[in-house]
Amino acid sequence: MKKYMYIVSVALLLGSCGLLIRSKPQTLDPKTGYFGSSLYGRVTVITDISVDATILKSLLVVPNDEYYAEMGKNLNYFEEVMTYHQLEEKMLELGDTLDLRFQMPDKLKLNRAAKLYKPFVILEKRSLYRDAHYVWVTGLSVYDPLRGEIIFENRIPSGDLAYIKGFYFPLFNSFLEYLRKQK
Amino acid sequence: MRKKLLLGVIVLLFNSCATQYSANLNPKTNYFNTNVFNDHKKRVTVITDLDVHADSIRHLLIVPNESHLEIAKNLDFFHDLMTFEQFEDAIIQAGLADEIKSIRNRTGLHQAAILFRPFVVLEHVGSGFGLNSRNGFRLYDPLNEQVIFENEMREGPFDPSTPTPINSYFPLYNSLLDYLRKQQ
Repeated sequence: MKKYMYIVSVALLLGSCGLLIRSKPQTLDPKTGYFGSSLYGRVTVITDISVDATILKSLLVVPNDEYYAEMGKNLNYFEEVMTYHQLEEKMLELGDTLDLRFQMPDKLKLNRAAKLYKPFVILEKRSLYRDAHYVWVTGLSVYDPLRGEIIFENRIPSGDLAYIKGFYFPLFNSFLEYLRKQK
Repeated sequence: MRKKLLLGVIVLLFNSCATQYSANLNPKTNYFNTNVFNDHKKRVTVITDLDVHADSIRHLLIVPNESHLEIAKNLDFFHDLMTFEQFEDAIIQAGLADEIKSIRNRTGLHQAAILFRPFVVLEHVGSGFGLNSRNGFRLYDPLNEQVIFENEMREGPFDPSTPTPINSYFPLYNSLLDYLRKQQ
């Protein structure tokens, strides 16, 4: 009986660790120019549309999370990085509203915001969705409200471990590759 | 040993009895498959049912999300299908985003129908929880600003073979099929 208790408590301890093993944001490795990761080869790029780099560079909007804000800056590509929340506040200052709380943001409002303020692209994480082959996958998608389409989307088979943000490094690496291709 | 075999056979038999759900019409009945308890003629109540010209609503159907696309394609009635988000993208790409301010309200939908292209919207309405829950479809014509069709059903008995919410759509779609086939 006591033995079982031990096993259960150890299992619980390990389980709770899962949430603690969140990778911290990394900076680019100066040797390779990418984030260090061992998982690089497994990323699939789904959408890849060429856009004008000067417009793309202007502003990246990331989810309301310290991690993404930090990673967005560490990409060393965008002139400015903002969270959804900061963009909403900016729009309020400019006298318009924006609502990015829901899974389905109003795209026409986003389009107006990009015209009113300055061009931007929105980074969205798509965690734990099932692809056509019924594999759990995690991915990043980048939406351009001025063009009205997703300009970049990738994914990686993640099982149910997507909360460990180490999975995002290979995804960010593939995003970097895309960014560096644009002229 | 024999007893176990028998049990196994019985379990297998029961499994094979389960309804085969699919997004395609069953060619025999010309409807989507539903389980026995969810026959749309008995279970689904039609609330609104307006006669319209079939050609005036045929152009384009907007569905709530991607899971509806595959089923709605097999209604075999509409020329074109889009999700809500795809429709917003199409408006932006057509350069009409400034005139049509937002299509999340009915004023905006009316604007879009006038300025962009004619369409009807399929809305999914759900309320309540568990045994009290109700599901329904509403077909909205933004050009004339009226609901042309609305139906509703109580949540069916739990079907262990497919515990996914999508199956409660099939009886509703069957009732919608009835309506669409009636229009001339």
